Amino acid sequence: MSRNFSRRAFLKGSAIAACAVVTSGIPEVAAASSGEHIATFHDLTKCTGCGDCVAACNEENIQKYPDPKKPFPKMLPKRVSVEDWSEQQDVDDRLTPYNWLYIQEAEVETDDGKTSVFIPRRCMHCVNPPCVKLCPWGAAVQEINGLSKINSKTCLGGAKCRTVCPWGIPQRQTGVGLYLDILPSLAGNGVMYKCDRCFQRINTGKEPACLEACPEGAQTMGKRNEIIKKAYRIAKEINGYVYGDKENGGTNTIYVSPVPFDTLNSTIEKGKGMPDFLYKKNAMANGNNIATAMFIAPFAGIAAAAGKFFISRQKTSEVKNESE
Amino acid sequence: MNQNRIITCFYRVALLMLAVTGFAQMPVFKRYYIADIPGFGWLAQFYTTHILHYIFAIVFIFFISYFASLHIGAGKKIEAALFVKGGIFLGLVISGFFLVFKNFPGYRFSDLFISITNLVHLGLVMVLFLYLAVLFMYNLRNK
Repeated sequence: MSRNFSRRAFLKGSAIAACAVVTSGIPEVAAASSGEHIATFHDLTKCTGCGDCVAACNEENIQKYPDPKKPFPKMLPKRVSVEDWSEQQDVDDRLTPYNWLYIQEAEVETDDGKTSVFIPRRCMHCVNPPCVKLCPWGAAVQEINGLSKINSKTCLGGAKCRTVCPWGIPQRQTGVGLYLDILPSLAGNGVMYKCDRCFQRINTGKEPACLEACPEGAQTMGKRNEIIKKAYRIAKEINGYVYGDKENGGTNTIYVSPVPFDTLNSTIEKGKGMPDFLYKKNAMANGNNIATAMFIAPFAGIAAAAGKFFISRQKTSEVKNESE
Repeated sequence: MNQNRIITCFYRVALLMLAVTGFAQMPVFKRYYIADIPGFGWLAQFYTTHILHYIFAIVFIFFISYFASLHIGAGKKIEAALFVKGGIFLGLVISGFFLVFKNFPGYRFSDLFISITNLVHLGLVMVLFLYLAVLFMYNLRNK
């Protein structure tokens, strides 16, 4: 500590530090209490692909990673494949149950020649997440602040969430979870894992580990409507493109890139655990549009019965009149 | 075929399809090769079965409200068997209502509530089919 460190300087420094802590926590807490979603903004012009976010994610979430029991139960029928990542926990070039965030690299041609764009990829935390809404057990849940997470205690590992996810994000680990206590050979196949936005940190007013670790400040977090405004403002400034605002009806992960996302998509490696950058239509929209008709159905039924009742009564009175 | 028979036929098809598309919400049809049978591939497509489940639910709700209104309107007595069936139907509709409602953006319930509602919905379907099987056997015996 410097000898010249005065009480005033200490108080000033403390005030600044306190303000920094409070303001960094404000958006999350405020958004959560008001029911407004929080979103993350990724400025791809800033990301250097250093991987600090990936390392921080691993460090923060290691206690949530699966610890499967081996040998795995014999699966019936035989077509049910074992998905075991426990021997490949170091894999960091795709999403796995042990790696919830990875960096995609896209080599693109610009006016300045060939350049690399680095893209941190993880769960998009959709505004209306199909993984949560369509989970047949309620094992996936969306918090009031919009983040979605999978409950590893109740997930049976059927992987429906991965099938219905437009980006195929959740990843399965066999040999862990509730299914082992029910019918391990006949139903279930482990637990699904994905980014949960470090909910344990957010709940205490902290930022997710990846965001805090980014040395370039490539990620920022805040109320969704503010993040959206910021993303479009920056996109306009750099003559760039936005991804995540409209996709799947809206997500809470917004990317801004100087290169069109179609171009990025054509150069990144895609496949299992490697999400693409295509436009995604709102997966839940058709179902929800039809669902509104469901609320009319009982009234239609009552009206039809009333109509039938009225007609039959009329017929009866006509017959009565004729006989008289 | 008279009008009543056509209506009953529609109602039964809706009930059967509701059960099939409802079970298809679980990842079982692909696992157990049923979706491999030619013409049954759609059973493994979750969004297709989700929408079909909704459509048949609309048909089903229409019919049960129709039949219930006719029954009440005619001033008929509600027998024990009908009371049980009506109770199961009501339970299915109420639990289904919550499951549909939660799928709209901005609506969320706790994971425990959703888990319980899912299990109640599934359990009631099983009870219903058990009840219908028992009723069928009883009627067969008494014929």
